[in-house]
Parts: sequence; C-alpha cells; structure tokens
Amino acid sequence: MLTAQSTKQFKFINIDRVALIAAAAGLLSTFAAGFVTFKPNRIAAGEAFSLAASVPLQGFLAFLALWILVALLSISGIRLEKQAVFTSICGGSLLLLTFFLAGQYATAATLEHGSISRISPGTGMWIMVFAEVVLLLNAVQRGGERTRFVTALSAATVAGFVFLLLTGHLNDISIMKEYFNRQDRFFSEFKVHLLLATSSVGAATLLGIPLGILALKKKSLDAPTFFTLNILQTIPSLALFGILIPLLAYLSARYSLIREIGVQGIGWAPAVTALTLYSILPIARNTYAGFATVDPGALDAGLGMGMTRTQLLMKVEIPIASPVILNGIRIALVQAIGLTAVAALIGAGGFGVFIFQGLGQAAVDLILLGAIPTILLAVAADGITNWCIAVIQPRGIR
Amino acid sequence: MIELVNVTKEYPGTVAVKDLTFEVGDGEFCVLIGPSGCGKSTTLRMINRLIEATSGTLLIDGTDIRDYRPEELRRKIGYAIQSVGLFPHMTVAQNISVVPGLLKWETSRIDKRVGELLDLFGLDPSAYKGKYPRELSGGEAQRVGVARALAADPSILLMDEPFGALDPITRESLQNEFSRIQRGLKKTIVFVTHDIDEAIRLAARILIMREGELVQYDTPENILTSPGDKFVLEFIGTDRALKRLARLPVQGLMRSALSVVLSDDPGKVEKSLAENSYLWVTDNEGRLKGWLDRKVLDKAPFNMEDSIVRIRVADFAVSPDSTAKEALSKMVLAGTSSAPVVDNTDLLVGEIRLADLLEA
Ligand SMILES: Nc1ncnc2c1ncn2[C@@H]1O[C@H](COP(=O)(O)OP(=O)(O)OP(=O)(O)O)[C@@H](O)[C@H]1O
Ligand SMILES: [Mg+2]
Repeated sequence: MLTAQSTKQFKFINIDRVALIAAAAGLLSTFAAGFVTFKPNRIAAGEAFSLAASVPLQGFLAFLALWILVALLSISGIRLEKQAVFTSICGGSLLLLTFFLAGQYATAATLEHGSISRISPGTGMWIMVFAEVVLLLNAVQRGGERTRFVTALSAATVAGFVFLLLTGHLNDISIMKEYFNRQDRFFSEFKVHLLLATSSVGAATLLGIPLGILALKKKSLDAPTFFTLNILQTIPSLALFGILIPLLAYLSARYSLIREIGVQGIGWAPAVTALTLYSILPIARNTYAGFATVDPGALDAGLGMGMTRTQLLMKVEIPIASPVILNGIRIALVQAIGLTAVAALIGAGGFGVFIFQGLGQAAVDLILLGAIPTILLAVAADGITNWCIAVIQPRGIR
Repeated sequence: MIELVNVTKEYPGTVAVKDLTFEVGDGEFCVLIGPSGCGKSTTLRMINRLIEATSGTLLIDGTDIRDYRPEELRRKIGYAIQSVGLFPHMTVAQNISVVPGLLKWETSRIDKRVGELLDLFGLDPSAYKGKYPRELSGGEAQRVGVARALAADPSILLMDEPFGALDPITRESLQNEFSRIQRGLKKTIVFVTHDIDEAIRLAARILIMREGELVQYDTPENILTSPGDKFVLEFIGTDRALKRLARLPVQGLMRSALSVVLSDDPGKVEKSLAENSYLWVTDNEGRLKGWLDRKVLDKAPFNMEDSIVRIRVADFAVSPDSTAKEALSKMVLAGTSSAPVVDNTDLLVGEIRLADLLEA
C-alpha cells in the first residue's frame, strides 16, 4: 500500500523512498552493537557483538559499500525499473553475505568455545535481514518491464540461501542447533501443522461457500449469518479453545460414536473446530462478494436467452465469482496457519509446540524454530494461492 | 405472430398489467410506451415467460407459450435489454455464440454467424471478435447485445429500452442502423421505450400504456393525428405536428426541380429565370452549385457569374431518405421556402417546398 502510493507520488523525480529507508536501516545495523549474540550455553545471558567485531574487515567493508551503493542508487534519479535491477542485485548479495558471514562466525566461535555455546542472530542482524528482504520485495514490485528478471534474481537469492542451509554453512547458528536436536519432531510437527490448517480451511470452504450463496440469495439470512460469523471472529483464539474443550469433552463422554473417531476435549478436535469456525467468515464473505459482483443484467440476459439456472451458475456465476472466493480461501489459509501455532497449547501439535516449549525454557532460539517456519509456511501458502488466483482469473475481468 | 388475450399480472398489493389484449403481426415493429411503472417491462417479460402471467393467454404463432418449456421458448426469442448484460468473462464472439451454443449448432456454423452479425452491425469481425466487453464503448456493447439477441436468427425479438442508456447521438445512429437492419430482416419486434421520438422513429405500431392498461394501439401517424384521449395528447407533447413530419420521408414529398447548368447560354438562362421565381444551378455533371433569384433581373444587364448565389450544399440540401422535419429545419435556417434534394454525391434530384410540407 505504502509502496504503491510513494511510487506514484515521487515517480517524477525517480526517488525510491523504500530503498532509501532500507539502506538507512542497513547502514544503521552495520554499525549496531548487537549483530550477533554469543551465549556460553543455551540459556545463559548473551553477549552482543557488532558487525565489525564479528566478521572480517573485508566483509564489514563489503556491507558498508553495498549499503552506500543502495542509498546512492535510490536517489540517483535513474529509471525506477533500472534501479530495481541494481538494488535487487545488491539486496541479494547482501542477504547471502549476511548469512554466510554469520554462519562463519558461528562456526569459528563454536570451535573455540565448544558445542554447547550458542551463537544467535542479534537485533542488528534481524534488522539487516529485514532491510534486505524489503529491498528485494520492493525491487520485484517496481521491476516494471524488468519484473521477470528481478523476480529471477530474488529466486536465485532464495536458492543461494537454501544452498548455504543444505551445505551446512549455517549449522552452527543456534536455531539450526535447536533444529538438529529435534529433527524428526520438526518434520512431524510440520505435517501436523499443515494438516490442521488445510483440513480446517477445507471444511470451512465446504461450509462457507454454500453459506455465502445462501446469504446472498435469501436476503433474510444475510444479516444473521454475517452477524454470527463476525462475532465468532472477534473471540480471541485462546478463549474459543477454552470454550470448546469442555464442550467437546462432554460430547465425547456422552456419545460413543464421537469418542470412537478420536474426539477429545483437547487435541486436534477443538483445534480443527475452532480453526474451521474462524475460516468460515473470510470464505463466506468473499463468496457473497464474488457472486454479488455478477451484473444482474447479465443474469437477466442469460435467463432471457434461454440458459437454465444450472447453466447460468456453471458458465457465468462461478467463473466470475471464483477468483474472489479463492481469495477468501487464501486469507483463511494464511490466518489458519498463524492460528494453528496457538493450537499447540491445547495439545494439537504443530510448530506452536516449539514456540511454547521455548517460552517455557526461555530459549529464544527454540521459539524461533517454531515461529520462523510458521511465517515461511504462511508466506508460501499466500504465494501459491495468489498464483492459482492469477491462473483462474478470466481475461475479461481485472 | 404474438397474441395477448386478457393478460393480467398481479403482485401482492399491485396490479402491474390489467386485462391486456393486443397482437403483433408477423414482421411488425411494435413499440410499447408509457410512463415509468406502467407495466411495459412486465408485459414484455411475460412474452418469454421471465414473468408468468397471473391470468390470460399468450400465443405465439397460435401456440400457447405454456406448451413450451421456458428455456425452449426463450431460445426461439431474441432478448436485448438496456443494461446489455454481456458476460464480462467472455469475448464478443463467445457472447454472441451463447444461444447458438445452447442450440448445439456446429462450431463452423456459429463462427460464420458471428462474422455475419458483426458485419451487419458495422463492427469489423477481425477487430471485435476477440475483444472483451470492458474494452467496448457503450454503443459498441449495445450493438453486440442486439447482435447476440439475433444470433440464432429468432423470428421474434423482445427489446427493453435497448438504447436507453446511450448518449443522444449514439442512440440516434443506433436507431437508424437498427431501422435499416430491420427493413432487411423483418423480425416481429416488441420494443419498450420511454422516448416518444424513438417510438415514432421506429414503430410500425405504437402501444400506449397507462397503469397496466392499454390506452391506444395504432400507427404513429394515426396516434399523432388523432390522439385517443387527453393522456395520449399530453404524452406525445405539443409538437406533434413536427413529430409527424419526422415520420415523413422527403422521398414521398419531393417534386422535380427546375435547374440550369453553369455553362448554359446566358440568354436562355435569363429567359427561363424570367418565368420562374428562382432556378437551381448545377455543374455539367448535375451537381448542385447554387441558385439564381429572379430579382437579379431587375438590375440589368444580366450577368450569370455575378448573379449566382453559391451555397454550401450540406447547409441547404436534404437527402431523399431524410425526413420532412429535417427539410423544414433547413428551410427555416436558410430563410427559404424550398430546399434542394440531392443524393450522396450532391447530384440534384429534386426539391421540396414549404407549401407541400404544410399540406402533408
Ligand atoms: N417483482 C415485483 N413485485 C412487486 N411489484 C412489481 C414487481 N415487478 C414490478 N412490479 C410493479 O409492477 C409495476 C410495473 O412494473 P414494470 O417494471 O413493468 O414497469 P415499466 O413500465 O417497465 O417501468 P419503467 O419504465 O420504469 O421500466 C410497477 O408498479 C412495479 O412497481
Ligand atoms: Mg421497464
């Protein structure tokens, strides 16, 4: 939103304000005190080291030079599309450099102080990484006719990061150490997380689409439906889990059939129930909106030309409404992936398990081991569904 | 042929159409007109069963429309509406193909038909086939809407204010175009409008409605010359004489024109001018150039070159297929009592006189 606006406003002088701010943040973190944190063991208090103190001089100078280059590029006045190409090259190099040097430092420190020492990214590094990611995303947005090239560069950067990860360059960074300590658990929680989120959204889709259509076609159902769904949405997730636990426990105790399919007061049942309830609103609302965008004149003409109700639904209404509905599913999915992290509290599993364990042990790295994959999963789900929307979007409608 | 016999449509609290009986002959252009809410759309939509009549009978070519399945009936009847209702996710060609597709025509036949129709409506098929509705102007969209209604070549066409949302200039050009197309196609048309000028321009018969009831059903000429009651009189307005002129083509009123050629012998011209109050002047090919007034003879000696009043043909002349109203308007503007009639290459083909208009 912000980027789009500032592009418009400042196009005529070709200043890329986002890149400029990113460069400022980058330079700040280049000189910040806490680039990495060293802890003699997992839960001991840490000691912060600046960039200059933790990487070789050439590395420090490279950071300095690249960030200054970005700053100069952003005010150079050359065309934004060209700027995007250069800033994405700088951003990609910076990102890989950051992780590479941090990994190197971690390896060296681990060799020196033994494997129970922990080297974690400090505030400075997080700000640095954030600035680099912003730089890349901003370049993709402003790429114009160069968008493909810039996107490819960003993809190459991601590939480079994965390469660093797989070749063990980052193994001595604390989060990776936490990962290696519970590798099997990580993948099983990943599966649980994905399953909880997708099955809830799947169920919500089956419920939400008919509900949205019903609310649109039967005006008397419109207000009560969305009133209820809106109320549901405002209940904090923990409270909803809390309400569901005794309810499901009671049902499970009362009806053997429910008990037999594995429903208990805690575990997956209340999690899926709550996540489904939360997911219905965006899906039903977008279904309603999607069908409402169909011009009544088109429906009248369709009927008047002799299309049956079913033909009208299949050939006109669904093609027009489905991108909007899919967008609702996208919102629900991203939201559900985030909320699933909370569901670990009621024994449903998922990445939240690491987060809450980490909170209990005051082990920040373990928290991050749960939090970062959750964020990445949400971003990936967002990207994939957006791509699907672009594919099914009819050419005549934009 | 469409027949309505004692057709009534009631809604809770209102009667939208009251005991309506009328018929539209084969190939006839019938225009339904009346104030807002008088039941025009309801009447139209009962003919293709988008609305079911409460009582009464509707017949198409003698068959009760309730003997057909609604979809089957509608596929045989073209339907065009004010909001056009093109499907936004389909191209122009796909939109026009809807009914032929429903009727399971072969693809090649559909393609051919789409091309024909776009040509008929003056839209270049190669340029327009692949366009999407959002890429069309209002006028183009409405042309496509009417083309779509005609796609399966139905003998009956129902149109609900199809040109109502267009600007006056586009509306008039579409009316003329549609009028020309209808002369070739001879469809049985029921056309709803608010606009009395549109009704007079297009209709073979006008059906005037008020509060769900038929007030008068007659040819435009008869309605203009003998409005049935005060309501009709108010409805057609105080300028009904002028409106009537709008129905009369110049063709039927024009007479032969006296003219001389620029290269004629001046003596001969002088002689013939002495016998007439004015003469049209053309070049050797017969193209109108100007006119001569007898008054110039008072200022002797006669000199042809100096005496000709040269004119801009477009400002003075009318074409044979324009209306008497336009001819009158030209005469009033030019301050003359007659107007030359020329064809589209400016060839003088006759003249039309004010006196003839007043008698018409
Ligand atoms: N579905 C409906 N339920 C109740 N009343 C209706 C319904 N449809 C139409 N009416 C009423 O029937 C009457 C005739 O409506 P109709 O749409 O035929 O008018 P119209 O002559 O086409 O008007 P306009 O020129 O404004 O389009 C109006 O009084 C309208 O309020
Ligand atoms: Mg109407």
